[in-house]
Amino acid sequence: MTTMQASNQTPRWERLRSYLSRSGSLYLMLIPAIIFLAIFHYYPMYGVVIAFQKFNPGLGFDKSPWVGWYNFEYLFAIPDLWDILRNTLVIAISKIVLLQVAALVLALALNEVRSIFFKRAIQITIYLPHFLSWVVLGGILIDMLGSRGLMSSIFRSFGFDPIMFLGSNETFVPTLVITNLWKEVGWSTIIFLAALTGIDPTLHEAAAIDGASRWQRILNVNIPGIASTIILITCLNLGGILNAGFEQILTLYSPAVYQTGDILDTYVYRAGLISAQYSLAGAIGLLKSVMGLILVVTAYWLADKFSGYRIY
Amino acid sequence: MSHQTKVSRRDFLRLTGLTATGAILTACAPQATAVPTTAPAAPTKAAEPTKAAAVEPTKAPVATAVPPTAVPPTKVPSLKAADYVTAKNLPGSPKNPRGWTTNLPDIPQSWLGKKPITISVTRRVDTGTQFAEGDTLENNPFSRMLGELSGITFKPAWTWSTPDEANTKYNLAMASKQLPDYMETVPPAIFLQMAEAGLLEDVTDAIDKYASDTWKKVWKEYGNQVWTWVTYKGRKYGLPYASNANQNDSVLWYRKDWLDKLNLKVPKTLDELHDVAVALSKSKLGKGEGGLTVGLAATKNIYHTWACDLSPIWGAFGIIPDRWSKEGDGLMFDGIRPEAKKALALLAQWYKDGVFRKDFNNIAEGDARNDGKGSINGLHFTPSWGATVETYQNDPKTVWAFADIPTGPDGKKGKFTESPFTANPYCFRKGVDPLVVQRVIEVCNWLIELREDPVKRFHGWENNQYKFTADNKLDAKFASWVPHAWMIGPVGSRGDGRGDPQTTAKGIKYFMSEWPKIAADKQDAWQETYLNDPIGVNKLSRESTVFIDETKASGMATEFRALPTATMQLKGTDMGKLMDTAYISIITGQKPVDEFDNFVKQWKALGGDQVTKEVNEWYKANK
Amino acid sequence: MIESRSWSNRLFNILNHSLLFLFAFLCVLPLWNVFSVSLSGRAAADGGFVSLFPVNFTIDNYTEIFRAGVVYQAFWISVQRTVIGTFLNLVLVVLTAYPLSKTVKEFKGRNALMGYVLFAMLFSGGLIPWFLVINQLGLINSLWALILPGIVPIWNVILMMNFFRDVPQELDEAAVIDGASHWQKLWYIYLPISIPALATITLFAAVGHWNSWFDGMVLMSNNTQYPLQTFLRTVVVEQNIQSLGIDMSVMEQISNRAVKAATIFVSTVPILLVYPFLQRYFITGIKLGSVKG
Repeated sequence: MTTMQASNQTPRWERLRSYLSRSGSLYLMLIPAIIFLAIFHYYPMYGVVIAFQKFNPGLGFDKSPWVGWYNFEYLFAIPDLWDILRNTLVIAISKIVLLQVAALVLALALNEVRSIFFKRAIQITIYLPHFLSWVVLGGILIDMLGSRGLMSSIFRSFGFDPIMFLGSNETFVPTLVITNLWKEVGWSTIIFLAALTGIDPTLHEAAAIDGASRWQRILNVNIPGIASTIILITCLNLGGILNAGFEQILTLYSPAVYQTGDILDTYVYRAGLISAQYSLAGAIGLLKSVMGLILVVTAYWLADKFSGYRIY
Repeated sequence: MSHQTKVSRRDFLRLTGLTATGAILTACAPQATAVPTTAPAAPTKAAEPTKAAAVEPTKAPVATAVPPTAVPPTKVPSLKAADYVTAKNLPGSPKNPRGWTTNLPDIPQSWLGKKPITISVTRRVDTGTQFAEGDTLENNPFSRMLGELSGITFKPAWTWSTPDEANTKYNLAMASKQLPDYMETVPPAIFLQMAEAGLLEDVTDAIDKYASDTWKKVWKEYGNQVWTWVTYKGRKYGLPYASNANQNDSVLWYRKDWLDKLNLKVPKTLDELHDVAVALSKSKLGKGEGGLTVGLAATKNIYHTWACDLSPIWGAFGIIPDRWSKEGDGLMFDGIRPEAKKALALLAQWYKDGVFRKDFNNIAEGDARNDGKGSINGLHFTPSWGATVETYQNDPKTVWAFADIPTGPDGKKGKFTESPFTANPYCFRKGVDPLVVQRVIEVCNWLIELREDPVKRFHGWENNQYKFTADNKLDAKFASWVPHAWMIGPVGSRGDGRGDPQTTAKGIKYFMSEWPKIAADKQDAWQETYLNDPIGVNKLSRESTVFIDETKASGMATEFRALPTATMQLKGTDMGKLMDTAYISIITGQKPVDEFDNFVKQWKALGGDQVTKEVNEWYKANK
Repeated sequence: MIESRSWSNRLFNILNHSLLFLFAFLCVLPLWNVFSVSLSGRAAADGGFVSLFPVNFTIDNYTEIFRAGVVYQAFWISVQRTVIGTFLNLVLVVLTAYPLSKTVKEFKGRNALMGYVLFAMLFSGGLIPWFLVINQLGLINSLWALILPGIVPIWNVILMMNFFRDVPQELDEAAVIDGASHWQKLWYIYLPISIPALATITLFAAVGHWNSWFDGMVLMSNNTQYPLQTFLRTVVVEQNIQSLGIDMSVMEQISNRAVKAATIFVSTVPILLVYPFLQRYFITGIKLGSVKG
């Protein structure tokens, strides 16, 4: 009773002072980040106005003519826009989902390897494709999947007519997704492996004592143990839902597969070859950011509502 | 008292200036070592008479109280370049018994005195831009020589290697208001933006005043097409860039040894070409896996491209799909002409018959050429560089040969060609010192004279563009094709720009007619290497260049030579996508040939009619 | 941890190991091919005749890259930027993630600051304003242009924040009772426990720096100042000659598969050597056991 009265009577600045002496260093720690982000991220944000201008770098942001929603209207008036958007989403979502699942499976599998030597050897080899850029890898793939490549030889040796994976609309997107998977899955296991090391080994021991098989242990100990990481990664990846992999597609696509392979970024790229398209690109960028924001916030809210995880 | 001091100080400065000028003039007096006498038999051009020019006025001293120091008698200063360049910066190898002399052109009057001036530039670099030990883009034999001749220093503000990089950097330079004085190969879209934003200097008058007569003569010859890409609202905002004429015109290259083996004649018509290609594709003569042979090479750029191009096939029907050609008294887009449908039908049939690689629409020019290099491809349409040396290494029995492009069903033949004046303006930023513009144009004049007169024997600098081996022959590995990687301006820099687009053809004709006349033991190392061609690739390249020049009439250039019209900018991407998709789906058999009619309808509705109108407006105004 | 020696266990192991091996093999195969191409003669490489082993073995392709000498410079710039950049990244990640991992109770305004950090990751003003800022700060052409703009890797911050959150509360409370300040807690408790996470972040940051080429291209004027990836990519690999005028010597370089293959290795091998050094940090959090009992 007395304590409560006392705390009610503690002057605000007293409470403030004690709070600061406890947590003041936290604010201090954040100062560098706040400053750097302000300089390099927030200050340049005025550039989003480019989406509402007919931008000419020579005139700059202050003198380029203002066109309001024109760029967005132009965007939505593109004849194939819905195809392009559909392609973008299909490719992006397939990539995110499949990559995530495959990386998880691979990480779990690697985690089960007891021999350190084998584990490390496998790890370093599966990381390798990540280091190649698509500019380089694209050339290799075009060779390999082309009519003179390894895949064609295999088909021919079995007596089949080789399929042109990169040349037809039906096979282009699966090819994109699978090759992207091959390139990135190894690298994507790193996070999961790191998270797996954080699982309390006693849980495993307890499960083993209870007679659980390997499968059961994985399902009941490993996966729940890194559930928060899985959800986190998924949410972070959702921010990039409209980025379907410009570099990869630019390297591998051709007019024959525009129907399923042309995405927002490649369209804008081609437009930029005819005449400068800073404004259109800016409008699309803004759109992507807004969508990303919506998705990220939604994911956060969903994760919070349904599993109590607060990702951010 | 102070009065006295002022006058004598002024005197002193005047005298210093006088002595300094005198000293410089003495130093620049002709040296004995400049021009050696071991020049080869090629006739040297008569030296241009030194104009009896007025000597740069020396400041006449007012007060004669102080006796003047010995001033050398005022003489007409030499305009001979060789007089100003120190030996180590001279191109050519005059001292080498197997060397030659480069006859440098005279310098313009205004370079005397060598007023130092630094010009900031953008430079294009790539793997070919290599230097000897210690040299850099800013400090290399050319820059040193130029400095000694004129006092000009070109300082690179930034460099670029790919078009995307150029675009980005120009955009950023514009935005940060840090444009260099002189900008090389400005992309057309950027040029337009800069012009609209008022960032470019109007050089119409400067060009008129300073460009040399040689250069102007070429411009007159080519007419309107010269200024298309540098003109904005009637004024000129840059120097035009010209490449070699007919550089990208194709001929038919074929493997003679294969044709002979199969007893086939060189195809002269499209049908014959088809049959030969199909026969080759079935012949198993190629070194591909299981004898895989490709009949006719093709790439994803189906309208025309710099290697393995298909334009002769379109041309045989009288069209090039992406060009605008005369129709009545206006222009029409070739891609929607009925002839295009016929050509598409033919190509679709050819694709089915196996004339092309099944994945040709995915591969780039390098890959298609690699088939040729790997002795897998037997026929292709390529400009003068079609005979690849690697083929001989992969298959010693190789015999490359070239022939004229085939005729179509109506006896027509044609191929892609373009004006040598391409869209690569060389611009100056607004507000630049007028002297900069003057100097750059003068450098261009000088370079044209140097590089485009085969008699001048300009091959670069020793140990930079060429090296001598131990036994005093030219090091084959080290002889650069284009020895002018560091030069400045539209007539010398990377990309091999020209003053006169006919230079290469003229040069080849000259070398091939004059040099073989020289006795073998009297040839210098360069001549020997030029004429010595065991594999024969160089010979093929030269002969084909000459042949292309002689058959250039069959080239079909577009009549629309301007920056994209308003509707083109708006709808161009969509129209392009429509056309590319329609064409390739017809050729690969995914859609029937009649899809073409659909395409034409859609194209017109999408914006084709509007664009045609705009193009015709331009045409009427610019005929 | 005692492994059951049951049948199902052994089967699992065999399957697991074989599938992993197969996948690793698939990853290595194309790269092995590229390696062989890089050691092959140009004609054979261009013709596509190299599969698993070099044809007409030669090291000319590698000497070609190093002939220019500029490569060494580019390499050194990349090394500097990676080392300094990664270190600073790490510092900033830790300093930013730690406060954000605290609850609102303990850290008022935490949500707002989290929002501040997150929003910066999602929205961007585009290339030009970013460039103008860096230009105004006078960083163009300096090594710091490659380090400072990206000094707060937000994605990694969020990752680290989650790892910090997973540190058991008991450890934290015990330290508070002992009178530890935040700095001390961070240094003595959070960091040692999060070593695998820190190693992960370091790896990501290092690879990110090594592989990044765009900022080098835009923020450095001359190709002599480019970091390695930028240099190799613009000057060597990506030659698009369509609008640049044909140049025989350049053209032969473009289709030169062997040199391209060699550049791939030159640019990749150095960073690959980093990983083995970090591997030993990816260990199980043994310290966790110290909490119980």
